[in-house]
Amino acid sequence: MPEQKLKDFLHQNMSEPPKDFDEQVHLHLARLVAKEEPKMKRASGFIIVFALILALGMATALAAFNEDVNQLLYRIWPQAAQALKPVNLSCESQGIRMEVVSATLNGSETLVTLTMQDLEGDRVDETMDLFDSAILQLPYDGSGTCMQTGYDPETKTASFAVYMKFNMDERPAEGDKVSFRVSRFISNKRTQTVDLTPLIPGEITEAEFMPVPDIRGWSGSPASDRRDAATEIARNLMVLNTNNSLEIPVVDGVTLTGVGIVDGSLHIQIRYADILHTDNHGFLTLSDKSENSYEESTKIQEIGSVSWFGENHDSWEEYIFDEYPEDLSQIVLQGEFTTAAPAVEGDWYVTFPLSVIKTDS
Amino acid sequence: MSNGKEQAFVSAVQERSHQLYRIAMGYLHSAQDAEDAVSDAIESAWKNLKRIRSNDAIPAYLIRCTINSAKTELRRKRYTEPLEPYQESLVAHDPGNPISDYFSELREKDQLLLILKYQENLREAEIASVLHVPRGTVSSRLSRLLDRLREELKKEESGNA
Repeated sequence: MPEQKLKDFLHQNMSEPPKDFDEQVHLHLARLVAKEEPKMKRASGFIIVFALILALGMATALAAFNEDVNQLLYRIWPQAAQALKPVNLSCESQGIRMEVVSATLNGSETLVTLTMQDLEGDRVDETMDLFDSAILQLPYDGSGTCMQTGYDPETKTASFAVYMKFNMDERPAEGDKVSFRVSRFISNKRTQTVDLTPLIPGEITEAEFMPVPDIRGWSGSPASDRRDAATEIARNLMVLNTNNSLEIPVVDGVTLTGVGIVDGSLHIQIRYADILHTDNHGFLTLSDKSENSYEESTKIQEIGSVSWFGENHDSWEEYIFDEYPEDLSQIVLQGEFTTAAPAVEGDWYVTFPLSVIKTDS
Repeated sequence: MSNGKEQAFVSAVQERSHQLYRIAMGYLHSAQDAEDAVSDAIESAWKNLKRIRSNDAIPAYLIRCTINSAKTELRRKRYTEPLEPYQESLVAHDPGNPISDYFSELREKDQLLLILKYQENLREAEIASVLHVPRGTVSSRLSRLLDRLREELKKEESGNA
């Protein structure tokens, strides 16, 4: 009873934020994220100065109706090409609808909010990743970011905020048209921690090996300022022979393919399926049951992990441990894996005018 | 966004921003100041993201940053601007309303505890994390505060009778 009275009193007397508060928060978050990792590709801004006036006249007339001509005009006269694009606040591709909610200009910053709704299935969710395919097109130099801001499972609608910051001396004005395009995304992204210890074969022995195929990447020591030296080490590595792989499924899209000793080091091999369409990735942690703690610095010594592409954009990754328990039955192996459904590809393209918002901040 | 923690941070801010605003408003009683405090808190938490031990700890850290930010602003204001009497309470005082009378007489830390529990519906473990006190302390303080409220309400009822 007193609890309820207290709740009622607080609910009645605590102030709710003003209407534009959410937008301010999105803008602020977008600024922070953009500073950290600018991802949006800026529109091509270079101008070819020797364009023929006559060609321009003809192209201008056509550019309003034909996207190819508009793209050509964009290279010559980006402002005109952008202004000629017809406004379309929504579009549909692959049964997924994109719709512009707002497009505001605040000084040299723009914040666009839009939604994507799956009209046919469950491909849109709260874990969407536009996979660096988002492009905000404006004929000015700028950088920014796009992030998911919400998801409504009832309507299967995800919302996004796209933030761009422009140079003060070259920035858009009210009414300027902006285009936003997304060509693919991934969803159903999950991160799982898995104990791989039970999957390790009972006896770990010297294994058949092979030279590393075409190296895609490496990690571990030497430090990044000695990249050449490290790449050289990785190139000379021997890895577990993939022709004799174990093929033990770990989680959907991740397979344990080998555990063995090569040249005195413990090698553990994992295959991530079709990473160009799923962004599947992960890492392993090796520890010793007999120790209470396992120091980060002793997990991976001079050699860390190497990766290379296999068929179907599979990524083979081999983790190499120089130090490991003498009694291999004491090994504890854990993996953290992030997987997703294969990318959905389409063409979601909207064009809309900017409107001005006035804020004190 | 490349990193799970950053994603968790963005989600936490989006989910909790109104909560952060209400808490900041409790201290500052000015929409503009509360917005600034939330903004500072988000920035401060973002800068320290690497130091936050897990994604689950991000909401409590954000609330803590908001309280710190609001208190800093309040201290600055105390030096520069006269404060209305009700501004000493985290919720505007409505004299004659027994709950409001009771609430306004509590110490700020007890008011905050009740707000986090009964307005913001935080779990006791989360409140403990925000206030940097053991969970048992949260339980016992809540219990004491409710006992006192019961007494106040009884007194009020017997006075009216």
